[in-house]
Amino acid sequence: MKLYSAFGFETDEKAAWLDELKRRRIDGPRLNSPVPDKANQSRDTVCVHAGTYTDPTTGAVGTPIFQTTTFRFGEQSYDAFMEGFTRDVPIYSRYGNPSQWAVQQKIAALEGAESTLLCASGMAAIATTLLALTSHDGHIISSNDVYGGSYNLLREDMHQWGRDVSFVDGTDIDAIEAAIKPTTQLFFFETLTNPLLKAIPLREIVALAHRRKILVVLDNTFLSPIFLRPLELGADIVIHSATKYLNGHSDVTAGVASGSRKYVDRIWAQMLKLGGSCDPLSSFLLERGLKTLHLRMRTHHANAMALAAALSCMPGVKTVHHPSIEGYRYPWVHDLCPDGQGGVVSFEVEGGDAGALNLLDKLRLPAVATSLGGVESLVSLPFNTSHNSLTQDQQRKIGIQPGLVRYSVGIEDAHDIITDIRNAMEAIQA
Amino acid sequence: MRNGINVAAISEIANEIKLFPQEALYRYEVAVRWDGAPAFTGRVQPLLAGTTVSARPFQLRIAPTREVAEQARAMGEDARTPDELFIAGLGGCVLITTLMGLTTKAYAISRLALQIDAPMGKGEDIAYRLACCSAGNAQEVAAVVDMVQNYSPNHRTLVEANEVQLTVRTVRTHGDVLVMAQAPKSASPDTARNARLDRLVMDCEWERSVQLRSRVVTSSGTDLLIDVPKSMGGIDKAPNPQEYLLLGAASSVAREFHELATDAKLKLSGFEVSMSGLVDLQGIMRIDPEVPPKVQEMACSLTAFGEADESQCRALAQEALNRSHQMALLRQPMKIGIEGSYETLPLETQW
Repeated sequence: MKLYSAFGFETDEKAAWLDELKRRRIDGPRLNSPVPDKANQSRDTVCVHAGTYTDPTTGAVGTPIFQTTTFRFGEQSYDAFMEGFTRDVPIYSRYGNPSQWAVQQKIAALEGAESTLLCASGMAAIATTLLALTSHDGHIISSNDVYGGSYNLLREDMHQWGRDVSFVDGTDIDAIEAAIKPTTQLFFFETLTNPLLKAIPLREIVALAHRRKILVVLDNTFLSPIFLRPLELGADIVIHSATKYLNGHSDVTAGVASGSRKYVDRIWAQMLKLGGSCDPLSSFLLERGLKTLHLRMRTHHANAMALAAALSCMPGVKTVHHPSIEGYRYPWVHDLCPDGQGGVVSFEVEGGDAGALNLLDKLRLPAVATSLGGVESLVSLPFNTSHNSLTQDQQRKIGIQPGLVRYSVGIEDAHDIITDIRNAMEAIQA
Repeated sequence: MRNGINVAAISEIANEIKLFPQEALYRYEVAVRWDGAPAFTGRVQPLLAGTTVSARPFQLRIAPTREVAEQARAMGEDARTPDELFIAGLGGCVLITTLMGLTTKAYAISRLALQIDAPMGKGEDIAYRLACCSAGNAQEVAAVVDMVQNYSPNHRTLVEANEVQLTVRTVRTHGDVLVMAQAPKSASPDTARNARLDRLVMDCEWERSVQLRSRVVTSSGTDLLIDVPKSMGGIDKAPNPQEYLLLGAASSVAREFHELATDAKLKLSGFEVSMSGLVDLQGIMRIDPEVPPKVQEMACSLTAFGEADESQCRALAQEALNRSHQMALLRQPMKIGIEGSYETLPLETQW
């Protein structure tokens, strides 16, 4: 076998015993892409440049789309099979594709992670991660108001795979601790919840997890690595629905899991068997979308702040859920995310769900559609979409009141956004 | 992958441990419970693997004697004896360590099997008969086997003297005191016990990756599966060798305590014997020569439920520990002989 220092091998010498095995974990997998100078480059520069692959033959500035399912074998490929570093060598696109690697490198750089895995969707990333990092009879603690898809996975499927799940109020550290069992292996929480924007006490949760030897997996979709980097605060894995802010253009379905190479390699090995890998074209689009992530997030945040402020004194609006509003119940979010808290605003209108439906009918700027995080504003009602599987009582229990509207604020002009909703509110009150 | 094992991943673990020794500490624990049935229930407790908890979903019925085990099997219930579990743990560890040693040296393996001949109290040494067909020649394989005898944790545990800490507590419970089944009395108290100590011969065979199958020769029982935790490259299909060793020891103490408690007419509604031990991978992997490869910090605790007097329980538990053959194997150094039959794969079939 040739010396593969690029894959963590220090020497070709045969080992006599396990202590003489030389392969170390390395960041990656990676191409010949620029590595961010973390000490001197801002996140804005990392967004644009990290991970982008320069083709040596043509000099193309953008990463080519490696629209291929398979790659020619060479000696390196056979050695990778024999020694077990198949994640680092192009072999077959479900195992890894350079288009995936480029965007994985970019996201890893943004998150401060050793490795990132791109999956076919946020749910693929969540399901694969939870299965990879727990065992049969393992116990997971999650929040009773995570995204509906995550909740359904945890409630309906995990027990069929031998995992036990407890749901608690994710903002209550005492409740989380009380739920711990000897078999608890993993906490799964959203850093900012959907749709009421509750913030978890992240530092306390990480401290508790470290004391009790529990892994921390966080879904950071609503905040993006621009506003919060959970790995820097001690989380083990951070997950995004890349469909939302990371891609930002409502034209890609993807998910990512980032963390140490040790844990992401396990998630990758699980993904190989479950099959939720991301295709090269979507990888390319995601990489392209990420180049403007920093600009988009700032505008999303500024527009959300402006909208929240306008809604808080708009006739017909009963309650506004946003970290900038006085009385927001989770003030620690400003310590965790001083630069911004994302682009979602939720609010309750008078007239209950009927009033909210009426409002949607009158809005002209946002699309009435599910999803969030795109450049265009989107609006939907949790009661009949994301939280439709809950009964009314269950919705009330987690704080979803009649008339709740979730507004994913885009990067349009803030004045236009506010004018549109003001007109719509006036129309429904007329 | 070589022999179904991801050598790069094993290498990564070894190099991680060099930087972060706390990741090398694996704390195993098992519990064996009696709640009135003729057989005990053995459970593997969550494992602390380095800095993370690993759930261990394994439970099995443990019969105090081979006769009870055969009776249970005749009724369709799988039951194991303490001897079987203990020796499976010993053999499984030796075989997995051999597998790792050969794979580290890049020898492709076609067949790997170990027979353990355990006299069980007759004063003879335990004997291994190892059969291996691999790409290595006989001297090369023998060199690996020499290393295995130095670095297999369970083998090292048996060839060295060890202390086992014992703690006892009683829990007052109200309700029915269970009737402890009387063991058949024989002319000599020792005869009944020695009858349980018949020679045990077990075959242990490598199946694939790090999974093994083990079976008692001449028994009607099914195979015992042996695996390692996911964090070490296994698939969590079965207990690992250290867990089997501890289950064998704990159930052996449970068996002796049950008999003593019955004779003493203790008022119990149940009892549980748990055993724990620590394995430091730095020792097995030879990363730190100061770290012993064997199972360390072994501790046994007995919890008695019911109305029994605690000091009486403590005395009987100590006697049970002293009478347990498996505990004797752990506490006193054993001699273990090894014979090997090493066949080399034809060159044209080697990778």
